[in-house]
Amino acid sequence: MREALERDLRTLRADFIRMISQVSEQLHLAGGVLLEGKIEAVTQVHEMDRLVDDLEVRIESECLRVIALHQPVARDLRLVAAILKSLSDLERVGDYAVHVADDGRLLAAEPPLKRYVNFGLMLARLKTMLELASRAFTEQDAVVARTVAEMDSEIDDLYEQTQRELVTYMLEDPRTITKALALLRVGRSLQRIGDHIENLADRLGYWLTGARVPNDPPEEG
Amino acid sequence: MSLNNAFQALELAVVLFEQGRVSGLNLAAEQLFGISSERAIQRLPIEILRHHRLERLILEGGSLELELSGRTFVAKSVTGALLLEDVTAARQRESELREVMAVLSHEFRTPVAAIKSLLEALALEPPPLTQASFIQMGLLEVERLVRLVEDLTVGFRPQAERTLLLLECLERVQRLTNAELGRRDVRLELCFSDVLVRCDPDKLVQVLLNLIENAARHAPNPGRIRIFATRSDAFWKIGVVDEGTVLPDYHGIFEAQRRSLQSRGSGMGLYIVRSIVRAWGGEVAGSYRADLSGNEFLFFVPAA
Repeated sequence: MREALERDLRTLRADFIRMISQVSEQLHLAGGVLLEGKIEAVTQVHEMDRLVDDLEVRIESECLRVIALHQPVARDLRLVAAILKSLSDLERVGDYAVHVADDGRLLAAEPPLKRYVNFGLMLARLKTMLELASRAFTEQDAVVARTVAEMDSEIDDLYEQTQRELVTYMLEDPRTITKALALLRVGRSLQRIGDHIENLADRLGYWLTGARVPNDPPEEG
Repeated sequence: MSLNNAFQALELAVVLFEQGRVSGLNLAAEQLFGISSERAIQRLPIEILRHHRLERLILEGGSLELELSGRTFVAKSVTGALLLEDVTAARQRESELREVMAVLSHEFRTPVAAIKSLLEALALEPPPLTQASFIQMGLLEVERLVRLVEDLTVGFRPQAERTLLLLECLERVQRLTNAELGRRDVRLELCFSDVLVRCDPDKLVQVLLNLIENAARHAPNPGRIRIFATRSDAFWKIGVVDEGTVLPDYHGIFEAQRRSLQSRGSGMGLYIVRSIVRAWGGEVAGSYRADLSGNEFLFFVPAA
């Protein structure tokens, strides 16, 4: 019985890693559209989003099947619950990556308002957060999970900085408003991605330690 | 050296598989994936590689290029093993080369086209006044070409380093810029003493020349340019401070082809500064210094 549960959990874990990896690639491609004007990747980002959605459905059914069939307890149950609850976070990361790619395509049509230095930094940190979350998951490392959750504050700071900068642009020259609004949307999408990865990291921490991390009030989105 | 030692010493990251499970990693792979061989053995490839494309590569064979931990790798699947080569540096070089080629072709094309048109116009024997004006315009374009070639010959030739005083280079720079600084009424102040550096003097002259000329051309005239030097570990941090106002972008100006409208340079000036300084293992940066009421462009040069 235990062996069968182990086998099913292993399958579940493998699929969950694949989902993190796919979302990470989606974000990488979206970053290419935004920062390097690789608009040919927009379709790929959309296609990958469909794959991520399919994977979400599949993993959700696997989780429910494991619960119904094996009735896991303690750490095993927390693992299944962590995966089940994190699916929507990962799926939202994928959705926001699509938004970034779509806005990136719009922005690529015209000369840039400014160099997107902060977006480059945000994207690099978000990719690192996803890589580390994946490592925390496979290596069952609560310290790494905590590091990932803490990295979100860097994303929030960069977003705030970008927001202030763009508002200044709009106040100084109203002709920049349309472009600045699109950039604000991109910043917001990246900031939300950070929040979802933080949620994922917190759940991994709970799975590994059994202790909940006190959270800021959740944001809508 | 035993076979295992050779395997471990490979720069290439290698992950071995047997019957769908990981059977070994060399040191480079342990570092790349942040896991020891002991922990990795007997686990599913996806648990170690954590990348869906690498997992598929093992199953389907072939090769692909991808980014892992912010670096670029070429991954190749052979029977029973996955090989990952870090090609980040090579890709960066290629990208820089492409950038330089794009700039050069643009930079050469513009003055050459202008000179061609001017010569064609001169061949039609226009009135003497127009002729003189065309010749003057042609000479300006030739000057631009000369400047470009000078930038390239110093910026991209091999290093010939020796130990020298920073002052020695600055004296050369002063001789070269005397006329222009005098015309613009810009004063150069050296705020340091006894700075001994180790580098190619011609390249240091080029770096200082480009930064000082930029400061003279883009900051208010008349004005002053101050040179500071502070020790920072194995480097000297040299700051060129003008009396200019805040600039919109301090990062992009070090990229190729960032020439301001009033500039008569090659558009490669700060890019070449960055290339030279990076080759020394140093870095360049620009920022507004409220305490010094001006823009500071600083670079790191190896201390002797």
